[in-house]
Amino acid sequence: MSYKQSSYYPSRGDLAKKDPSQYSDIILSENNNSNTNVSSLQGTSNVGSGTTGNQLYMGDLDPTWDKNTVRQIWASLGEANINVRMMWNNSLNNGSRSPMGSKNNQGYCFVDFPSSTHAANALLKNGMLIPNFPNRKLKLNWATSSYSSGNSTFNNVKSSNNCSVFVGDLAPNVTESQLFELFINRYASVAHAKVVHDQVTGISKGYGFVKFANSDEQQSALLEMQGVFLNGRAIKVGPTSGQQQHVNSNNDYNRSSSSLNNENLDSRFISKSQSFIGSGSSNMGLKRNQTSQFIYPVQQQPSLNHFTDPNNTTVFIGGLSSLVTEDELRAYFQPFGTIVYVKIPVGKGCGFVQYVDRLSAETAIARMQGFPIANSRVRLSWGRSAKQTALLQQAMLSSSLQVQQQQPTLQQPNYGYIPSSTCENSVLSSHNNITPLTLPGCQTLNYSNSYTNASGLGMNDYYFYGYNNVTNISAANLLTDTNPMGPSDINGQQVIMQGNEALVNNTNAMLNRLEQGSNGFMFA
Amino acid sequence: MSDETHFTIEEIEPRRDALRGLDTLFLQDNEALVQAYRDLDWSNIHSLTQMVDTIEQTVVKYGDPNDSIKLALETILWQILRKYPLLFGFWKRFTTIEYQLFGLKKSIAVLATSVKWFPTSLELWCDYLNVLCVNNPNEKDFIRKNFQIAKGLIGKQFLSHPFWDKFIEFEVGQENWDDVQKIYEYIIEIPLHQYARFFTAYKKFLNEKNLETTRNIDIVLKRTQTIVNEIWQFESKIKQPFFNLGEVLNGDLENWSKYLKFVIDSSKSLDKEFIMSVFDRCLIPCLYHEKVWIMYINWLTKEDVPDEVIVDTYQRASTFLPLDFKTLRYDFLKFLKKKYKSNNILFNKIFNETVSRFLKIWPNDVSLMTEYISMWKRHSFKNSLDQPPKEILEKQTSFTKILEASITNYMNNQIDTEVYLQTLINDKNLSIVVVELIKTTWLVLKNNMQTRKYFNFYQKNSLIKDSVPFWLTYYKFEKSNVNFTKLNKFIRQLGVEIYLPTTVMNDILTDYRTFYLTHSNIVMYESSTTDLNAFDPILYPEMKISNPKYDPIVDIKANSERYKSTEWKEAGHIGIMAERPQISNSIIESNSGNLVQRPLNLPNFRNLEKINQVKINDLYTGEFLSKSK
Repeated sequence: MSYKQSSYYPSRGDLAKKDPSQYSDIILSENNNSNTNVSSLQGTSNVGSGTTGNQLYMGDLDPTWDKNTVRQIWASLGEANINVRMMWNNSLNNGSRSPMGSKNNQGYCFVDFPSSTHAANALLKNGMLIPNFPNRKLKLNWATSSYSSGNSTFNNVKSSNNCSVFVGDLAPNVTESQLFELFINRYASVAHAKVVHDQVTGISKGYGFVKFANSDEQQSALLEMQGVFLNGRAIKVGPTSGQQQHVNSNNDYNRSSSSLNNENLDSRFISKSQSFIGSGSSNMGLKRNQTSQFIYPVQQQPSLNHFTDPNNTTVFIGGLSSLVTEDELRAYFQPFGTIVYVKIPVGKGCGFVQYVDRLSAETAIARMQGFPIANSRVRLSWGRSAKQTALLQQAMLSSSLQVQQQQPTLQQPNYGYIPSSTCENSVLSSHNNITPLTLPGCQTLNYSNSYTNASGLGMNDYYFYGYNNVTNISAANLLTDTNPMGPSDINGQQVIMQGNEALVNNTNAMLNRLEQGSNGFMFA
Repeated sequence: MSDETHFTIEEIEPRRDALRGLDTLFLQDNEALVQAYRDLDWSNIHSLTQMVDTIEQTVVKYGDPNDSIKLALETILWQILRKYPLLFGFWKRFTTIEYQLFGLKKSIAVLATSVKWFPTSLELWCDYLNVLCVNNPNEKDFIRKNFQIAKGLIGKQFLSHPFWDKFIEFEVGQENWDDVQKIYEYIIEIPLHQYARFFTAYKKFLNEKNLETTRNIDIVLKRTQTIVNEIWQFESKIKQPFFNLGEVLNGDLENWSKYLKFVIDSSKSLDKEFIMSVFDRCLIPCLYHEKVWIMYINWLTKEDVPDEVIVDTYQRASTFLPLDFKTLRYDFLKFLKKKYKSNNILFNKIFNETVSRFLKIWPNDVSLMTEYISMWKRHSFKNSLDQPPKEILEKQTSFTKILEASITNYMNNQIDTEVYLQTLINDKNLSIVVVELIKTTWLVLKNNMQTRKYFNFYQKNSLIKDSVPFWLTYYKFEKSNVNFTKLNKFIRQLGVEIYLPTTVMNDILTDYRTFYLTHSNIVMYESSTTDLNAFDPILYPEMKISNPKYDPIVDIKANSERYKSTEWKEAGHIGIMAERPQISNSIIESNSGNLVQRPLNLPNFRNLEKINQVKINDLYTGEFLSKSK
């Protein structure tokens, strides 16, 4: 994928390449295999520009042909009143303006017809055999206006003709309508948005174009839309090829821009910083748009695993002595919050504790990290729930693929990394479409009074001594524990009462433990 | 003649691998047998049946194989039946196989063993008695003895008419008319399925022999009839009266539950032995249902049956019930403790054996040791008020001596099997013995010096170091001495040098706060806070609650570096990206008119290189998933 190379700097060191659409609008360049597509798109561009409907592109020329040959061809086809602009090979300027020595054309030219009707009629002859030139067929198409209307003066872009903006670094799932929405909300003159898809696979190539009717808006979009977030990624905007042709040739630039598309983020960053040194020194006087060459290094969204899942409440306990029983382990982890279950798989030297709340799990990991249990220091990290573990193990049994590839996709939304530069923040805050971000764990911060009243002891403590009912306790207490702060007074009252009761119960349980514990009735 | 009846297949050594030592050629020729044995799924009745099928085929194939093959085949069968003695069909097939392999004597021996292992099986008893009558018609006393045993075990079962027919036939054959009448008198009171037939036969018998009855048998008939009609509603619904692997049908369970409730209803005043036979029959399909066993035992206890019967039932239950059923087994211990007074020799013996067996099932259960020690003390170191104090002291001192010797022996790995206690100690319950020693020294012998010595000595042992009972005893001991220096030190060591479960530590800390406030004074408080350690006995416990590793950082340098640590940066949210990559690209000047000609400032980067190098210590994947491959 080297769209920048082929579109921004079309003629540098690439003389052998004769693809005519390099010089046409970038939209065309992406669709050069499909005539119908091209023409329809061109049609829309004509609506915007209005004055260029009388020019046709003509390709497949013999290299030796010149203006006159083409005129003769068209004269024989009944169109005598035309103007031909031949594309020559050896110069940056058009061959027609510096006719020096014998030279070959580039294989195509532009033909101006007296009116768009003439041009449209002429286009119908596309594919016809050319009279007097056996084996040659007419290859015709609508031409773009930006090139043909003269482009030699610096920054004198025919913005009235080409008001497109290149949009790069799109997230793969961005649709054309999303892109359109994003721009139309700010710029009333947005006429069209196009996301470029790979023709074979149908997957987004990660860039697209937005067409403006108003050049001022296009210009301000180039400035304002840089780094705006769309589907979790900062987009990148830039001018399209027609506006870019006069940038000084710069190898550094080419290299950097090609490597920008490298999938590897690290090398992307490195090459980018190099390019910045280069561009920063050599392009000091260039127009502001040049700085937009920088692409924000947006991190790939991390895959949702047990470490990145903000709702994970399962704690993995490694380095666990085989002497420890589940009840004992519960006694170690109980004070940090309500436990859903404690599980010690046989013979693995590890254990799992699942909490109701994320915060409990985080506290447990922080407070118990490295604490010795039965003479062995435990190592804590995030685990997966028993169900997910079973799924994983099943997957591992059924195939010998590596563990890393076996992560099942969870049915929970991803959250992306958001770089916190002022630019994006300002955009973020001003943009209505983006929902407020929640940090991992934020949604679990609701605690009822009963919990906090219990001075850190779990609600289920008072069942601790039961011989057989140890395991079924948490479920019964879930109701009181996770009771959200009731909006009504009655509810709040109840919560407080439960809190007091729990406190009394906890104290009783504590005294019982102190008394019976010394007699060895602890984990019976 | 009767020597074969003494032989039982129990003499077959229960080897682990029955096929061991067999001829390789035989093993190659009998792929199916080897395969079936190797793949034997003990929880699947079809797999077991297939195994027996294969054995039968092998027997047919070889006719008279050599001794090692015979032994291998009967060992396999024996292994299955040892595990599932209630599979009566397998006993029958075993008998046939033994008959084919060894002949009559051994097959009778199998039947004799079968009724020993499955004494409540009507089918097996009938088979056994039948075989005895047919093959040893002269062994009359022996046969009669067995008939009497069977009568006690299965005679009251609802469908036991084949047995009674056989018994009557046997006694008629002996022309023992008195005995026949006794049997009939016995039968007519039992609610049998075919009660009417026996009545008719009895009446006919009375007429033929011209015998008199001492009671009006028509009244008996009416009573029996009523009972049979009442229990028929339950009996008719029993779908699976035999033992099988897998779950019992829900309908059957419900029916049994109603049936049992009906028969134990005291207002019905049914025959005790009949009720027991209903329980026995229920416990054939419901062998693994703890509730039924408990119901049975509760009823037995209420009915004042001999203790031996209850003990036997308890023992049977604890043999058969899956190992994770604790309730009944602990009930057994309670029962033994309660009955200790009536027969202290017997119950002490059973108690010791039971504790020993339970410790093998649950080696981690320290309460068993506590129970044992208290029972042992009660049995062997009994004191009464009328003894002279000196004698009492001597006895208690000898108790501590034995305790200490046992602990020392265990720690030195020199277990003296003469002392029963030493065979029970394991790593887990050693601390209980230590605590017992300390408590006796402290509370009975009142020797504080020695107590402290024990504390100091045993806390160095790695098995005691983390023991909750030990430290809670220590905490109590120092509390009773109101020794704040020691207590403060202990509180400070919690979680730093003494590692207890967080729950227990929280309990101690909470308790200590109160204890300190109620027992200390301002002078002591100030002296403890002004010394170099700067330990605040009031604030410190508060800080340590639910924070077991809490230790005020004394090292100022380490403290100043703390903000660099990962823990600090994560701020309690484990696993979040603490060093977020940052790019600041200010556009604040971009719209400024003055600065139009100047390029924008370059963006600033931070931590960008860490984007894809997030350090995650993923123990779950590393230690668990990869290991479980």
